[in-house]
Parts: sequence; structure tokens; C-alpha cells
Amino acid sequence: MKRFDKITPEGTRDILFRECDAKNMAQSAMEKIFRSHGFRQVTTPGVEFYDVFRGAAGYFRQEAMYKLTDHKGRLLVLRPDSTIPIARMTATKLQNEPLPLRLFYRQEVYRMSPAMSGRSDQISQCGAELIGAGGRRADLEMLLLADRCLAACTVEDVTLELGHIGLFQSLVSALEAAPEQKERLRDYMENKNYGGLDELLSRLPASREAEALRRLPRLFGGAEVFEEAAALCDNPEFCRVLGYLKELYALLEKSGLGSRLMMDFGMVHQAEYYTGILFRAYLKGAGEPVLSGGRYDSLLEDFQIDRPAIGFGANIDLLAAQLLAAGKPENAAPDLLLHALPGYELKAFRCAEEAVARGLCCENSLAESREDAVAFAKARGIPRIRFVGEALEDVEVEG
Amino acid sequence: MEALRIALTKGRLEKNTLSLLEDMGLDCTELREKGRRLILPIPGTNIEVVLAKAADVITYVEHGVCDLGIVGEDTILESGSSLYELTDLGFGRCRFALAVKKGTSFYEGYRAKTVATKYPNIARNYFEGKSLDVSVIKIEGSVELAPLLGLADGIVDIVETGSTLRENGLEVSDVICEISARVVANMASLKLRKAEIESLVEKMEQEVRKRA
Repeated sequence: MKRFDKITPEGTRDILFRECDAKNMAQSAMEKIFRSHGFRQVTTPGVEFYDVFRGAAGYFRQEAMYKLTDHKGRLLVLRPDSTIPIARMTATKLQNEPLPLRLFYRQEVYRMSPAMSGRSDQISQCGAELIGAGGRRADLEMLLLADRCLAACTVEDVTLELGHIGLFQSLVSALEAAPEQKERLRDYMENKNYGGLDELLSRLPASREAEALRRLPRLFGGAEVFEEAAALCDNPEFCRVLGYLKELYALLEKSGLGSRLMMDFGMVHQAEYYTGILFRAYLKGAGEPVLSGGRYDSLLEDFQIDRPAIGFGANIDLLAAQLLAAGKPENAAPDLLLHALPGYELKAFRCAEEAVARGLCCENSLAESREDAVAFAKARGIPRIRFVGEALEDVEVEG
Repeated sequence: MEALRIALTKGRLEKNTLSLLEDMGLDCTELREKGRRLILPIPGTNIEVVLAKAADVITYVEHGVCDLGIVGEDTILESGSSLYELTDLGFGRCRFALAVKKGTSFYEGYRAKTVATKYPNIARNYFEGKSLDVSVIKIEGSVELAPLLGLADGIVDIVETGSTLRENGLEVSDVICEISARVVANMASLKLRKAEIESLVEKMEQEVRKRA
């Protein structure tokens, strides 16, 4: 029988050395920002009951979840997302905490990708949730927080993109269309499938809302899209949402985000989950968003409590890849190899402690001879060896 | 400035795509005389063209190593990938259809049916939508053979003129959908290179309208 004992499953990989360092660098930078703004860390189990994710609207496709069973035969999944478990936890264990709750997490999520697609099934995420607060001030806090987080762990500027599910929803709810048609409209909107959208809308009764829907996915870019959107339609809800976005945009612009902020009025990703603003961040070279988030005011109702909430999660793997490509963090070989001559092992250990106290990184040599120690230092890229005997002798290692 | 990479589908759509690009005033001599090269510049622009098989066009665009792609909707539907599908180019028009042996009915009787196809996801989705259990067999070459040899009750395939079907004693039972060539874009590229992509796609759309 073929044994698979030397490879990792498709969609997973070992992560070594500098790549770990880069992930830590991104995570620590974000964590520092979260902590300094009063966010508290939580960790949820890697394995949850399937029922947690089955929720009213089925936010995650069942075929994308890794499943297993517990000893009673109940269905379990590897956590495909962190926000839903945090909602579960909030609804059960944190009901009496003062609101709003500020939580952050750094943990893996698992999503089964189609075979041979070259995607990772295990994704490191770091994100924050602000639970129990609605409205402009909370939205603004999280948008600014997301921007600060990304600024702290990216080399080049990130483009932050803002939208609102209410634009699409206000227009669609005014249409005379069957639920399946509305669902297809949402798919076309999400994929910016202009052709499909035109074709489907032309078969529905004409209205200003239908006309506005045709234009909506094309409305992305800078401040200029507000004007065009305002001319589209006089639907009161649409206008209200647009006004709200304009207000946010002005505030964000004032805070210095201007040049890296863009709007996308056609953004509708995971519409069943989000209820208000939606945002994403893009980085040159990464083909998908490095951060994504939004307001999800009705998610906690699935767990029988009523709390407005907003959150975002960043893809640490993409952020780490970007750091690595820019040569960060630097490859950190130890500064010093300490080789004890026979009988001086304890002295060498004390020497190492002293060097470490001065901020150096020291590795202990376990080589049998001086020559072996030099060869090891060379191979490992350690620039200096300190031989510890009665006296100390430093030798530079030729690269 | 970094090149804007466009992945073009080799084969069926290649000729039409090149003439579209030429009508837009782009110099495609490098593309016409490509030899064995796979990445080809368009002189006087910062566009680079990558020639690839249809399914690979989707893969390259989805991963963001190409910013745009030109590919048949059949391939998009089959892959189920997340990318932006911007424009219908109007050429490469054909239909996805369920075809059966002439004079037979696919839905008759209680026996579970079998279809052969190069597009298993499209076939499966179609029958799932009809709440029908149908077993799908993936065939790589001429799918018309499968019902003739008795392997399947029908085929799900692209039908352009229908002459291949007729010559093999098959006929269309259901039209599943109409398809044509599309411009697709990587989700991050469209946002980060909005101006470049929009102006190029707009030129394509103008050309398509002129032809219509």
C-alpha cells in the first residue's frame, strides 16, 4: 500500500524560518495596534460543530468545509471562519460584558479549495470585531483601525475600498423579480458580469431602480463616483445610504486616507452575512484582497442575541509574502557561535548568557573539533566563533 | 511601469481576438509571428499578451499573474472561479446543449440516466437545478461517440452549427445556455489598475458595438 508519510495534504505546506518570521512580523504589528486600542484577544477552537456554521442563511458552502465526526457521530468542521465562532462565543459567554466589546484574534481558518487550484486550504488570519455598537462612530473606528494595521505591516501603500450592501439591496428590493432572479442579480453584481446583468434586467419591468442596477457595478473609483451614483436614482433608502457613505468618505479623506481610498458601489460579497458597510484592501502583487470586512448586524441573531457588530480579518499569509518579497524580515543567522573546549562547557554557557544580555544571538556549538565548529558556522552563516577555554578566542568566519 | 498582462485563449477564439485587437489599432505582428514564444509584447503599449489554453486563462487571471483574460463563457462556467466578467465580446457564439440520439427522449422511463461531457461541472449543475440524479462521465475527446457506443444516454456539449450532431444521428434535446467570448479581470487588478483596464475594455466595447 502506498504510504503518504513524506508529503503534506494538498492545500497545506510546511512553513520555515524566514516565512515564519515574516508571519510573526505582520501578526505582531497588528496585535500591537489592537492591544493599544483596548481590543482583547480571544481564541476559538480549531474544531467546531457543523451546526455553528449552518446558520440561517448558510454563509459557507458545505463542500468548502473540512468535516470530521466526534465520538458520538456528530458532525464537526475545521473552523472555516473566525467571526461566526466569535459570535457564538459572544452570545453565550460574554452576554453580561459591558458593551461595546472589542475582541481580536490570530488563528488559522480552513477552507477546502477545488483540487489542483494552487490555493492554500489553511489560511492564517488576524482580525478584530467590535460588537454591540452600530453607527458612524463604530464604522469609522474599524475602518481607521484596518488602515493602521495594514500600514504597520506593508511595504507599499495599500488601497482600501469601501462599499455598502444597502445600495444593492435598496434597488433590488424595489424590483418586481422572483427570489431566484434576485439571487442571480447578486451573483452578477459580485462578479461585475455586466453582460449577464444587462440581459437579466432587460427581461424585468423597466424602472429607475433597474437602470441604476445596470450602472452600479461600474461605479467604483474615487470621489467622482458619488456624483454619478446620486444622479442614478431617487429611491429614498438608496439616497440615504449614499449620503452615509459620502459622510464616511469625507471623514476618511480628512484623516489622510484620500489617495489610497476608493469606493465600489457594486460590492456585495457575502451579502447574507453583511448588513452595512463592506470594505476590502488590495495590495499590488496579491491577486486577492489582503483584508476584508464589514458590518454584520444580524449575525448574532442566529445565536439568539441582538447586537450590532462590525469586524475585519486580514490574510496574514499574503501580508507575509509581501514582506518577504521586499526582503523583510532580514535573514537572522546568529551573531556568534560559542564553542567550549573540553571541560569549559559551563563557562561557555555563562559567556553565552552575557552575550545574550548584550543583545546578541548566540548558538551553542556541539561540534567535536575546532575544524567541525568552523565548518558548521560557515554552513549556517554565523560570522564569528568564540572558542571558550582558559582564555576566550574569537575567530571571524570567512563567508 | 509594470506591463498590463492579458491572457488570450489559443485556438477557437484566437483569430477573432487578434482581429479585434487589430481593429482597435493595436500592432499584433508579434502575435501573428509568435513562433514558440509564449509571452508577447504589443509594441507602442505596455500590454503583454500571454497565449494559453482556455482553462489556464482563468487560472492565470484568478491568481492575478495576468490582469485580464479573453476566454469563452463555457470555460468560466466550468471553472466556477471568482473573477470579474466584464464584457461580452460577441464572437465565439455558441450554445451549451443536452443532445440525445435522434428520436429518443432523455427524460423517459424510470432508469437513472447517464451523460457524457467535457464539462462535468456544467452538466452536474444543470441536472441539479432540475433535481435530477444523473451520472456524469467525463470524456476528453469526441463526446458524440458516447451515446453511439451505448455508454451514455446523452451528451452535454458546445453546439455551434449542429452539423457534428446531425452527422452522428444526434439532436439537441435542451438548450442549457448561450455562450460567447468574455473579457475577465482579476479582482485586485481591476481595482488597482482601474484607469488602464477601463480604457482598454472601453475600446473593446466600442469595437464590438461597431461590428454589431
